[in-house]
Amino acid sequence: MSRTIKIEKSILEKNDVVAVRLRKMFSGRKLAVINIMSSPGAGKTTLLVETLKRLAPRIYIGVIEGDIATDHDAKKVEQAGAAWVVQINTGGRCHLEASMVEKAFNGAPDGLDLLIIENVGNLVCPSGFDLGEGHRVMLGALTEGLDKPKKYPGMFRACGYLVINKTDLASVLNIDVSDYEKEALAVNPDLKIFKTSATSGDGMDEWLGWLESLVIKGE
Amino acid sequence: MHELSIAESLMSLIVENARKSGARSVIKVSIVVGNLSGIVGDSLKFCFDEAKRSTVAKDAELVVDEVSATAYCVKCETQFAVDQYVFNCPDCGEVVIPSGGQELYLKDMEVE
Repeated sequence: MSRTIKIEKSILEKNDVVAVRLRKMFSGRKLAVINIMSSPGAGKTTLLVETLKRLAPRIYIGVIEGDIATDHDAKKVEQAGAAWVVQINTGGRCHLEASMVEKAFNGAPDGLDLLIIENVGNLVCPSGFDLGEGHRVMLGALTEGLDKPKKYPGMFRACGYLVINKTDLASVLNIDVSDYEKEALAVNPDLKIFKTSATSGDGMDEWLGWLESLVIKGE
Repeated sequence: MHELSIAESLMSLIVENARKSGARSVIKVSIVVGNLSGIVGDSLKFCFDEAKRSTVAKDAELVVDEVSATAYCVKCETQFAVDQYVFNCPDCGEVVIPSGGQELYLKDMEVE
């Protein structure tokens, strides 16, 4: 005879349990952790490389690189001065999961000040997986057009911070950066926004200042 | 393949709960998916059929109950369901922020 069992549990419970464990461990180490997400080609790695060039001389930064395949990004990041880099190849998966981060972090040295997790380039799936990070950052590029916030609201709402990158191309694209801001805030009015051009260096100071404030607070 | 990860997580939750309740087989699995969760029901069903092979749920049917996000317009004082990412009040055009729609949970399972 059949019977119905009530469960009422999150399907991502397994991931969430690991994420909670990671968050506790990061906080015990006073390690600031950010999870950066964007579509492919928005400039995550370039922003990361330019960030490392400026901060690595005085901050001990670890990087977890998530990619479907290859270690191209890990090499670039290592050359830019990261104290520790680990590449996770997801083998087809479109996002990182907490268990992958936990396994990767096992080899991390003591004394890191900041851990940057570069998620797999994708504007949908990574937003659903908590990695135990302190802050979620979404990187949007002006070249992607103004419709991204409304097309991918899940990602814009899952993040507390938005970096609008490639601002140096605004005039070529005939896009006003403030219009992108308006579109993003319509989807998530709580977003804190940075405007950068990783290639020209514009706006990098505010971004770096925020990262340094996280390191000082250790969160 | 986002849905494959979800199907695998779902399957481990099913197997664990089937074992706890001493079930011999799982007949039906009911899940709730929010319409803004980014999960495609048909794709999840496809992945579920792959993930269930050789498990206690190998013959189980997956029932996906899709629930809508709702939004409240302060100007019109009305609540309405939000679908397809519309962020404006249908009556006055005011920008509204939806709540809910991110649900993703295993509601119940029928076992024997």
